[in-house]
Amino acid sequence: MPREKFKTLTEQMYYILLCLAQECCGMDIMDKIPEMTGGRVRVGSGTLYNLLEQFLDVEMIRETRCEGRRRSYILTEKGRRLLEEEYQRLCAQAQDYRRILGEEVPR
Amino acid sequence: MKNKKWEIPMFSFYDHTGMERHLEKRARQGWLLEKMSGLGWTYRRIPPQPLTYTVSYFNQESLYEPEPSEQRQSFQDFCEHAGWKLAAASPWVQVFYNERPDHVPIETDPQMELVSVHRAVKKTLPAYILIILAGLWLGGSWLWQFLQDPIDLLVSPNWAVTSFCFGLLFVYMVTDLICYYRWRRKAIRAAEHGEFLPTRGLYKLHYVLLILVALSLVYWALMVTTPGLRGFFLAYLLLIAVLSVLTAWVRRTLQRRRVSAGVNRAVTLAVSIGLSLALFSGLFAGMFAAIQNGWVRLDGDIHSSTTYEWNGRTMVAYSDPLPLTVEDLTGITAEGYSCHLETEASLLLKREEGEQRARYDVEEDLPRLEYIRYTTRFSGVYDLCLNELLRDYEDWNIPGTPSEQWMQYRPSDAAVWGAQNAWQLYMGSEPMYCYVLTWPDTIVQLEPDWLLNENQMAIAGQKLRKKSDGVGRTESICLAGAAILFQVIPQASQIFPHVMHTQVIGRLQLCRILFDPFYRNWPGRPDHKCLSVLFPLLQNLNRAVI
Repeated sequence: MPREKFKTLTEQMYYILLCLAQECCGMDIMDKIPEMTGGRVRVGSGTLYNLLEQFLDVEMIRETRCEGRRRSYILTEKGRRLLEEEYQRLCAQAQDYRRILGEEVPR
Repeated sequence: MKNKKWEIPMFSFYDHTGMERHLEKRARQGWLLEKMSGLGWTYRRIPPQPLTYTVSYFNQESLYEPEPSEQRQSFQDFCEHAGWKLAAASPWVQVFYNERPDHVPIETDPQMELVSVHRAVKKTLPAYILIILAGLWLGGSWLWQFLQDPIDLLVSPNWAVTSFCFGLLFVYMVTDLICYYRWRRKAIRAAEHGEFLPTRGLYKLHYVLLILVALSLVYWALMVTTPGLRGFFLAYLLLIAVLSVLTAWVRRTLQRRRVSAGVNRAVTLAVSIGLSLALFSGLFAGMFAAIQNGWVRLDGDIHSSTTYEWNGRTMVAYSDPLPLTVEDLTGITAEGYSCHLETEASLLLKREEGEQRARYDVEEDLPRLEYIRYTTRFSGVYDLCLNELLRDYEDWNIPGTPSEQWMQYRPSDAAVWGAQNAWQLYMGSEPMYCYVLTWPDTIVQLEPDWLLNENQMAIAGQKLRKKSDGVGRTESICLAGAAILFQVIPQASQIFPHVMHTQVIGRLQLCRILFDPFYRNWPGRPDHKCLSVLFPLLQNLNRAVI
């Protein structure tokens, strides 16, 4: 079933928004995410560019600074709320896992 | 060693995977894409190396946006940061390459990629629909005419080529769209699972279609019987090219001068309309002037003619050489005739329309003679023509017409004409002075305005028939080509044993073409006696070779 736009976030969306909890330049996000995830998640330049445009359109982020073509962004209240909702959803998933399989670390 | 390479790629607009693979192959051969335009792709030489290409659909701006646009540059900055260098760009597509083996793809979200591809396709959709409708209309009417009244179509290369090209364009556009939507349906499903689905275009089919279009244009240029039209068409193509280049130049110049998109669009449109009006009205005016002054002939036949005055009007009397004249039939020579012969021909069929009638200023009641001779150059069209001719009058019968007014061809005695078959037109039970006569390769529709006696019938048959063995001229060339092929590649006849017939007939035709000039009657037929001697000789030679 197709996902309702930004109702649930993909892993890439989640980490882009997480980076923008602090003011951050678009291009720096590309480096931050692999650092943050130990190289597990990587966002392509085209995907990042388009997602930033879309987040701006729906006011999940706002532009803070513009130095030449280097633009910086930060999360808005709406963005923070949607990120929080995604975090709660992930937590609920983790809780369900623990309830059924206990605290054991999956091998 | 040349350092530049140019090619016209035949990729579907959405087929980025095809383009990427092709460009990667070129990089391994030592060519790096440098420029993309409507005239093709240009490469420059580099040391052969493995490069990864990505074709990115950037469609957030209009075609007229000032260049370089900030959005586009900012997108390129993002890509450059990840090691993707811009190779070339067109208004809707940007092509990047990456030298790093551990690169991160430009698109890492299949759903986002689907959205940008679809947005790009939607922008080209109106052009697709317009061409599909034009192709459907012209290609469909061509097919309809081919099934209903094929003679005009077969005899004229103009209409045949135009409709054929539009038919091919229709096939191109429809298959392209079907292929895209099939890919999209599957790609949506794959994207739901986070997977990318490579695109697959129909580039082989598109190459075939392009070659067919090119061949049909060459065919048209060779066959068109109106030399003026050939020059007119070439001038027309040239003007279209000039117009496209100038319009694109205006748009690009304004983009570089950073004029706003709105102004650019308005200026480009105004220039385009103004130039079209100026260039094409100039072309048409020039053409009319050339025809009026007799510098260009639209009519392919050269007529010898004189003019005369009749009732205050200037009339033309022709004196073309006719294969059959009233004098041949009646033996009476009369002044005051106009003899007109018009020829039209394609690779498949030749039509000669002869007419001998009294000039308007002649008061004497002179017999009139009209006929149309069809020479088929490919035996496949023979029955199509004959059927249309025999149906010709019947088609004019209105249902419910009394039987005594019903027009119909009925078989008549062919021997008196020296023909293979003969038909005469009847209205009810009354015979009319209209005949259809057939010989191998030749069909004649003869309409004198008097009742011919048997002697006259024999003369008409003798004058109008063409010696033939039933294999048309084009067919003969094709068969000879096949014979040469089988001679060069003997294995071919083992692979296709059923083409033995083609081989035999083909060699016969080869003989004919080779020896025909000696008989000084090309494109006529050689003496069959000569062939009956030559053919066994050739067969023995063939055995010796194999």
